[in-house]
Amino acid sequence: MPLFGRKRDHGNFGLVVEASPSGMIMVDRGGKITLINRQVEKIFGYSRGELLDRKIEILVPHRFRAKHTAYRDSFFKDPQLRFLGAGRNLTGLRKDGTEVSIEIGLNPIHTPQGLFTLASVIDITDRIRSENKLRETAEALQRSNDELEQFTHVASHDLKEPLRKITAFGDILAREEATKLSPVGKDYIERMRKAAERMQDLIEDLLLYSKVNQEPARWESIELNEIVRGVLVDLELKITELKAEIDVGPLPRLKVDKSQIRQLFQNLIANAVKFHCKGRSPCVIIRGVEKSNGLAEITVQDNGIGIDEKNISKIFKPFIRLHSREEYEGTGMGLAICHRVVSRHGGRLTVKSKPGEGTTFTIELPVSSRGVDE
Amino acid sequence: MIQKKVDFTTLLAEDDDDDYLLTSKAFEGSPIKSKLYRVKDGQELLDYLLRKDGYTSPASSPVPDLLLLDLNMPKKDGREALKEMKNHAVLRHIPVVILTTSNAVEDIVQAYETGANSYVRKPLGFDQYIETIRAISYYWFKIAEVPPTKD
Repeated sequence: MPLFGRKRDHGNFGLVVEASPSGMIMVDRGGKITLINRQVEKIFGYSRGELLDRKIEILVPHRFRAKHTAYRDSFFKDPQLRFLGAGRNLTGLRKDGTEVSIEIGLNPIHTPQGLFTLASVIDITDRIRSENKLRETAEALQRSNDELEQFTHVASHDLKEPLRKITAFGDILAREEATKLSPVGKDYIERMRKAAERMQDLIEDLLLYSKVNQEPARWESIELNEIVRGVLVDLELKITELKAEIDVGPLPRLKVDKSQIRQLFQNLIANAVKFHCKGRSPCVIIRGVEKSNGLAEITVQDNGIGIDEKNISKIFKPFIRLHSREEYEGTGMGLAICHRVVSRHGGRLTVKSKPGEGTTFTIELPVSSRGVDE
Repeated sequence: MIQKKVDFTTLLAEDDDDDYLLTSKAFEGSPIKSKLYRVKDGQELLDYLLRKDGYTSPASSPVPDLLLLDLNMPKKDGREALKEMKNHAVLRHIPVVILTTSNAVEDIVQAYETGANSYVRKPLGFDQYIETIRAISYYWFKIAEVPPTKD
């Protein structure tokens, strides 16, 4: 239904048009302007007298005029209501020769004098400006994020270089000069070498962490059970040593980045075994279901020491350790890497835990993940 | 029958003094003795091999039986130098082992494509350094058959 009804009520119609917050232009079959409101004067800078009876193309930039005439003819042949939302972003020509971004809705009006088109015109300059601004800000943010990632990557590479030498010359000291050192001196060297080793681990993990976002992911179809089997082989020594029991149910087939998902399960299972309660053999239960919403839900449940409520929010942050090095080895990067891998796959990693009873990590992953970067 | 050599010459192209020190110490500790010569970048390497500039004397810059080549060096890096060597009718016969910190897949692939004979990462600790140099020496000086060097 046309906005103002089929019958033209001169008095009210004029008032309504005049009061409209949008610009209103009525055009006859020949493209002649028969009515405008105050908003149109404001948008285009013409007075009413200058526009009435002129061709509508006076408001169209020269380069679009030929097309516009053809477009107008076809609209009159097959007039259909076009709402503003369906309207296109167009450019109008002001009296002073400048252009203005506008949005236009077209509305066929049948009158005793024939068919007219009522066009509503909105100046969208401000909207486009703020949209552009928003896009620029988003781009700048993305750029600075990329640069930061890049920096982490390069820095961790370059940090490895001097570290390698500290380690190597420390080795030589311990090897060749040991006889000249007092026991205290030997102890210092040993501490230094241990610290260098730890820094090596930290840098390796930092690299791994930045690699998750830096390197293009390779999406491939994998059998999750196979991945977990591989991880268990890698962890065999620890599993045997701690008499850990790992119970793996049938897991779904997923389209993911294989090496990243392997890293995810490597870290989660290694954690589940590592943070076991003293005097209780670790028991890890891994289950997976494919849900109807295209998500797979995989849980990794352990009977370990659990995580205190107040620490739950910290554990996915990089370099966060909840225990001293004497209690548990580690760089504090494991779960941060896990979290990143899952986000990169467009999924969610959550945790539920009871101190002294155990922890359950829940991974939700799209079955056919194409990641967040595509 | 090719006469087996007993004294070997290794040329190390390495800009970093620490790494040169580590490599030479590792050679000292290796049971297979080899004289170690050093150049500091790709340009020096080619000058050495082509007997240009300061490297005209065969006595002080003998043709190496093995080249240990770092990839990241100033002026001309190891990648370019390798390319030029492998395009040279004579120099291409010298066995080249890349010895670098880079484990970037593209570096490894490119090195082999250009004709490197092996690719080894610089080891972390000194014990591994000795082990690596020992293994390289043993393979290239005792096991592998290589084209005879002309002097």
